[in-house]
Amino acid sequence: MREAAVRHSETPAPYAPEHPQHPRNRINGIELMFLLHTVPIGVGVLGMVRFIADKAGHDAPLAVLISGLYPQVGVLFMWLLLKRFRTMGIYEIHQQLFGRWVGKIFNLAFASYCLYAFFMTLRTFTELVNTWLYPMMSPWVLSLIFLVPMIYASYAGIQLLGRYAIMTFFLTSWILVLIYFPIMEGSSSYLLPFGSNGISRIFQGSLLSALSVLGFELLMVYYPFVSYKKDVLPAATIASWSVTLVYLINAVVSIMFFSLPQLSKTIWPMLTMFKHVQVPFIERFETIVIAVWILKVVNTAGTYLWAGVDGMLKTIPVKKWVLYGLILILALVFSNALHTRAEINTQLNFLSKLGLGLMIGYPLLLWLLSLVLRKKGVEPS
Amino acid sequence: MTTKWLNGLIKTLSQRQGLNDRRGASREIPELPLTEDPRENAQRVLDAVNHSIDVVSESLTTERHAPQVLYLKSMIDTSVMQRDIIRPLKSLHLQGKSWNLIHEYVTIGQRRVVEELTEAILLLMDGWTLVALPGQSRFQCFKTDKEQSRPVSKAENQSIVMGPQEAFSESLEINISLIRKRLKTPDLEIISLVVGDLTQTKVIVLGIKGIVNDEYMKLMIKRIRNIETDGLIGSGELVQLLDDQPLSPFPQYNLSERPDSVVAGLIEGKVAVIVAGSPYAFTGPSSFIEFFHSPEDYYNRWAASSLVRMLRLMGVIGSITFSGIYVATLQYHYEIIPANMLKTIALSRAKVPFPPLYEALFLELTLEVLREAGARLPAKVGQTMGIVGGIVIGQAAVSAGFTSNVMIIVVSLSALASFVTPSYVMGNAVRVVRFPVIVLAGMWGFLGLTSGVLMILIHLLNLSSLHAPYMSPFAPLRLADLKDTFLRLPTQLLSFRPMLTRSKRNRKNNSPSLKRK
Repeated sequence: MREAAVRHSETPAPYAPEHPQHPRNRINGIELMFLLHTVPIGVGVLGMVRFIADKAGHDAPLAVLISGLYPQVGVLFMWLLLKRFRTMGIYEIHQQLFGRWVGKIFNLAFASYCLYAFFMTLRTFTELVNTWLYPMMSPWVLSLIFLVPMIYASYAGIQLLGRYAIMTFFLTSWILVLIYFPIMEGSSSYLLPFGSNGISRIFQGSLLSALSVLGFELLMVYYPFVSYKKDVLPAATIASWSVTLVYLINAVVSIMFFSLPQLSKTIWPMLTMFKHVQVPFIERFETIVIAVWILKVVNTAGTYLWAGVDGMLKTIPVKKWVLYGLILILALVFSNALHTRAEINTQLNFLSKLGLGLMIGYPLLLWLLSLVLRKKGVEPS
Repeated sequence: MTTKWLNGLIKTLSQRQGLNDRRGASREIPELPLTEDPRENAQRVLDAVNHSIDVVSESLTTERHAPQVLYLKSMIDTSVMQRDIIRPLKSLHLQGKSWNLIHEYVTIGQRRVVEELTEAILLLMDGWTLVALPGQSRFQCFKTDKEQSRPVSKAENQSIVMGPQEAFSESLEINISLIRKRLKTPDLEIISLVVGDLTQTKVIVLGIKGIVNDEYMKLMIKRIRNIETDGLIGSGELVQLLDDQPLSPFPQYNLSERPDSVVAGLIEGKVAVIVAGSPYAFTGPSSFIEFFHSPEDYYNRWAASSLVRMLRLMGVIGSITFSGIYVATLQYHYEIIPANMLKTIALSRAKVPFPPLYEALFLELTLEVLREAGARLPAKVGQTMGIVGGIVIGQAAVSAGFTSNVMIIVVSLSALASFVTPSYVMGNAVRVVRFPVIVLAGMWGFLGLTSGVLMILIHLLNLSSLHAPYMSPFAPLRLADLKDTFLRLPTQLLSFRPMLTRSKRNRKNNSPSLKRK
């Protein structure tokens, strides 16, 4: 009988596997940039133009351009806050600012927000799949199909998510080529005259695209894991404006393609546009786009899931796999509980307001508070 | 974590008495001190090796205290032993000189004096000849081993059209010389280790000092040292004991039978390992894309190589997804097929009684069985079998109504595509991961297919080889290294080592100019 045994007694890493300084947990500037770029582009982008056009009319592109300021401003506030607390992330800052126990409550609240965002991304996408591909399929089965890769990616940690974001970007960027078809069918005169809807309506429209820029608030969770903190501001800035660019293209093409009354009746304008893609051997291209979009949804939801679990693990003593198991079960239960499009929309509206507040107002508030309380992070020895 | 858990499970399952104790080779050899009597010493060696029939003990003369010569008949070159040990010793004796002059008379260069029985037996097993002299409590040992090995032959599993054809053989010395003749530098570090209590297999770790990152070198040596096993047969087995993630279906070190590709790896700053008795060496750390490179890519013009490399990658992606896409499309998403094409496919499938999933699994499995049978059969029978398989699959299955023509095209395409992978192990891995993808596609259409492919992608991103990221240079993104991945830009531009190897000397050559003056 031959039996091989391997002792893996390699030099024990000086850090625990969950520690930000552990080599498997560090992300570099490029990975951070791709994370910040790809996480906001989830399910929201598929339907965002309709909401904006409801308010801003054919000036939706202008509204989107203005909405590019939100993540940028948010990033600036976050940067101010994080810089003051050196290597700390939002979860450590809470404990530092509010003390141990109150900090824990804040931690749980922020982590719950992340998990809520994770769940809503998942549920919105399953609803989309129910509408476009499998009308008869029960939401929890669909959720299960998406949850397995999400949990797999998120369990592996931030470094994998960063690398996965890079892959997501390159594996889905070809979708941009497809806008050739709607552009050929559309008319650029729909975009004119510029700004005729007035500044207040354009501004209101820009607020409605908030749901699509959510994802930048996670910078406060990534921060301790970034190896070179100097990279953070440039990476986040590039990411925020490149996200805006993607949305701008989407908005311009959608307005060119649809008439306004038509747009107001289309829930997912982007997918409807891809219906018009025609190549000799494939029709109904949106089927393929939805299938590929799983990549993006897994990226967005997986990252939010990781951020939430990271906060939970830092706050309450619980085993990682227990937490993931619990989340899996809860996600399955809740995805069956949330039924109609209207219900989901109400939840999404709430989420987008909450997220916008957390992205811009919250870091500013914490920063001012830290100035008042004269608290800041110490340089690690 | 999973590995730990599995090990624990295996342990509990085999908790019957004694099953868990690894006996090991070193069954206690009674450590008796050697005596001054040659016959007694020889007897002790014979006892220790259980009077095995191939261990020979000869007396040089007929006297009571004559010197004894001990050797392993099956392991040594008898003529060398006769010519260089027995004959000089006899003439020494005839001239009436003292036995102590043995070292002046025996002409073999590699020699040792050993005072311990265990060490003497290890040398004996390695093909040394032991001489016990009267009045000395030690053995004079001379290296007389003869390795049974085949000569250097043509690389067959990684054959290429252009470029050197020689491949490693089973002999360690030949293998090292194949590498050494391509790397004439004093910086080539060759470290010898021994693995396996029974087999005492020599494992050689190579690296070029000043280029290879010491961490990788140390890690590799440490992992090899940590292996506790009774027997190590070949490098294919060793590689799996050194993996970062043993549960993965994907190879984490690049096994190669070609000395030129191992040398290329060494120059890039990798660690190479050769195992005695195994015609495959391996290099690490390896990246995923490396398994789709062939040495021939560097002999071809850059444009042709780039095209071929992209074809290979497409082949791999196709081989994983083609059948899945077919199943998903026909079972769930037929609306994406244009009407004209749908007619053709529907006609082809009209007679088939199974859903596409079963059809695909049936054909894929048949093809795998055919391939396996072809690989194991002698060449002559293999041909016949190929014809039979071809006719059965190609014609009979369709006319009997078991499968459709389109399915056969899809399956053959995906099988063909899986054979373009230059690395055999990687080709096998790709074929394995195809099956879950087909099943998922059959269960949930495109969604199942994508989530299956996603699991593979995430798994690949999660892998590492010697702690170096497996999917480098894609993720983590290393733009400079993309020059030699799915592209192969002109050699003038490939002047830096890949960041994967974290070499201390980054620059490989100094020929950045593409314009000839």
